[in-house]
Amino acid sequence: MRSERAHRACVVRALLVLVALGSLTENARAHEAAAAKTVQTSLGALQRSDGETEHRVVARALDALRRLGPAARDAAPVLVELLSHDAALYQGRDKLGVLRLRAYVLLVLGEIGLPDAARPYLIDALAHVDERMHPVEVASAVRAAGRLGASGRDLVPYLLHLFRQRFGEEELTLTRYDAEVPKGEATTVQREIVRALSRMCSADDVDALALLERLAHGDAGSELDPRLEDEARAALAAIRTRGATLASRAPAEPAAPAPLATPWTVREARKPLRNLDIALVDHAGAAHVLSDLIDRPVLLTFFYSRCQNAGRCAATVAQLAALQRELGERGLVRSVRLVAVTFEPQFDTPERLRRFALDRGLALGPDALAVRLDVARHPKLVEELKTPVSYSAGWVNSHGIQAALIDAEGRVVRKYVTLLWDNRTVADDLQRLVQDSASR
Amino acid sequence: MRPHYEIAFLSVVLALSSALHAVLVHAQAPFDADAYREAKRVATETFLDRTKPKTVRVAAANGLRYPDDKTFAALLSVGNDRREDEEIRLLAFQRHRYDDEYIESVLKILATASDGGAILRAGLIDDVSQRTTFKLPPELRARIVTAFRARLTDRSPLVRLSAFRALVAAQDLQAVDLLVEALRRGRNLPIPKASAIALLDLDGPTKHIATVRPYLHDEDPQVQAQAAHVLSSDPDSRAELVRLATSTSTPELVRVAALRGLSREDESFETYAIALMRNPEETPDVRHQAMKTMAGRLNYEKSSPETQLRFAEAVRRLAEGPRLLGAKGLDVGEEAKKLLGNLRRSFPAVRKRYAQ
Repeated sequence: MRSERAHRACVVRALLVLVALGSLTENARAHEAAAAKTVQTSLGALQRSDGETEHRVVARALDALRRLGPAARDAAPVLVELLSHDAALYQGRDKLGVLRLRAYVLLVLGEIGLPDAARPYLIDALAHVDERMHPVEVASAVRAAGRLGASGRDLVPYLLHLFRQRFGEEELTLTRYDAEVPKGEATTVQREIVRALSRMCSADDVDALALLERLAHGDAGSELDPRLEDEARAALAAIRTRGATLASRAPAEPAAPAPLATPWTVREARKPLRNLDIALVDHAGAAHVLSDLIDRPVLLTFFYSRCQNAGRCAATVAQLAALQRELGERGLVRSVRLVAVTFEPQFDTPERLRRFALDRGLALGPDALAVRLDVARHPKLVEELKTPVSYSAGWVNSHGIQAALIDAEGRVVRKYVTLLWDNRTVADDLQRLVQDSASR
Repeated sequence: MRPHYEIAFLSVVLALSSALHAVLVHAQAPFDADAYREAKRVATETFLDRTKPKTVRVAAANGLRYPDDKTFAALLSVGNDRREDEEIRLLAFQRHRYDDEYIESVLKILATASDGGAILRAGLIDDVSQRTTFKLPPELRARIVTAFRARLTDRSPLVRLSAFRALVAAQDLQAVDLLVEALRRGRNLPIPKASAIALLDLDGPTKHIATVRPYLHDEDPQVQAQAAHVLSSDPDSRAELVRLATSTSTPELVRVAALRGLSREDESFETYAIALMRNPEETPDVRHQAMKTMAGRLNYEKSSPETQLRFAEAVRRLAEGPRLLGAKGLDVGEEAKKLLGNLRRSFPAVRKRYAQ
């Protein structure tokens, strides 16, 4: 009798567990379905958005994805497309709107899961920081980097470099899209860096640990925010705990390095540029047609004199000057041509082009020119080269760094993207093109 | 020289220099330290005397010079005293040195809704933002920014304006965002429209073009003028701005703003600027503004000798033509004469053509 009762009780318990499991599974399925629907709706809204779309409408769609967290990871590819400077979402939009939306897209990507394809944009945001950037742009990128955890360790040097920038202590919020900072939500770039380091670093990251130690003991400098002491102590505790836990685990797979250049395109696969018959004026006021300048291998890049970020355009032209010296050492100066095109032909007069280039060490002449394209045709080349830039009323809102390697037949061979290119790599590539032409 | 002539010569020189010395000594009255201290003492006593009329105390504030420690303490007491008139309290804080006591008192007043009216609060925001242009300790900076941000929605328009001015100058995202949103909506602006647009201009004219564009034809000329200045960097607004600048039916305020902006941005500026200068139907102020802005353009942009000569000729005609007086009594001819002198000095082509 007793055993029968016990048996019945077991069966009932088993049935109850099955029902509960079934119900949980049902709930999970319903939740997943709801999440998928939210992702679909939000993606639809984002894909339909352009420069005219009210920015809060875009923000609401992003918020919906943010709330789902990793459950919205399927939305990541679309969000990565929205990080592109030339995305339709940003064209014609005021600069403030562009930087806020881009920052928010990056922030949300960090929370739903940052795919490898987004890494070049993250590096772009962290590596080319200037004091005149808005703190919200930087803080969003820092938080997104932190979300990578250990797989983002290669980004730690950028965070350490950022730490002492002027805007580091300006308060902002990353909890919401709105600029208003409610009490209790304030954060700063510096705080985000400390939190990110706590997630990314291990006991091997000596520079990061040294900074955190100094912060934790309040001796990192009197000009630093004393509230960082508590954050730093928490970060050190987290790193030490994780270090002990991970000791028994296999090391995390390092992330694939972000691609800094497109692959080399073999001769047969190269497509000729369609927009080469564009009139231009160079730094000396002389008129040319772009195709005239491409009678030998060319490295073509963009800049503009109003760029306020010393880590972008000024550094780009300075890098071009350094490349020129490298080419000089290889005896290639007369065999190739360096062309720096202004993003803003309506503003950069020949005098401005000349001044900007000379001040950054570029020796101008027939082998290295700073030019402005015909205003009406300029957008054609920008579009064809998929140059990372967004405009509002003809003025640059945001832009990335890119240089295009073009052969003597006017065909793009490869592009160097995201970070300032490595001059030895580019010089090698130019030399290869010169040799290819000579052997024909 | 023969010896007796040398002696005579030296005697004359000595006599002249003695006379000169005597003249100079009498011309410069020696500094009277006692009088200075006495004037400062009287001014301090007057300002701190609560029985004196307000106008007398306000006038005495200028004589406070650099107070001593005892006076600083008294100033702080006046500044914190809610029974005192707002203007007197503000003056007391303005005369106080920037130290921890000053900033703590000011932040407390800004955070306390019942303490002080619009004049005091707006004045304190202006005073703090002027005194804190250098790098501050981060925690203090955060407190100041928080205090100012809280005043963006103050009941007093004067306080709101001060808060927006201080924060937009620091490129505070929250303040800029509020202005942009309000201008996009076109209503419920926290500060006057013209001021809002002027502040966005300060934030960076090319950053807010789309927001400001609708205001180029606002019914208020002040708003239109501010919009014209911002939109001088908008290629899409260029033609309209030139039309506004050259049309006699446009309010003068707007024309002046348009000319100022266009002189910076428009490569073909000289064509209509010189035409305005030469047009006797135009008002003196517009002709003067065209001249002034064209001169500004030549200061910053390279110009050909032909342009310099065309401009110089237009300036000469204004200098030598019938007398032209602007609305505030400005003598356009006199200004033109001075400018012609400067043009001669700066440009060889002009110097050669108009050799004196």
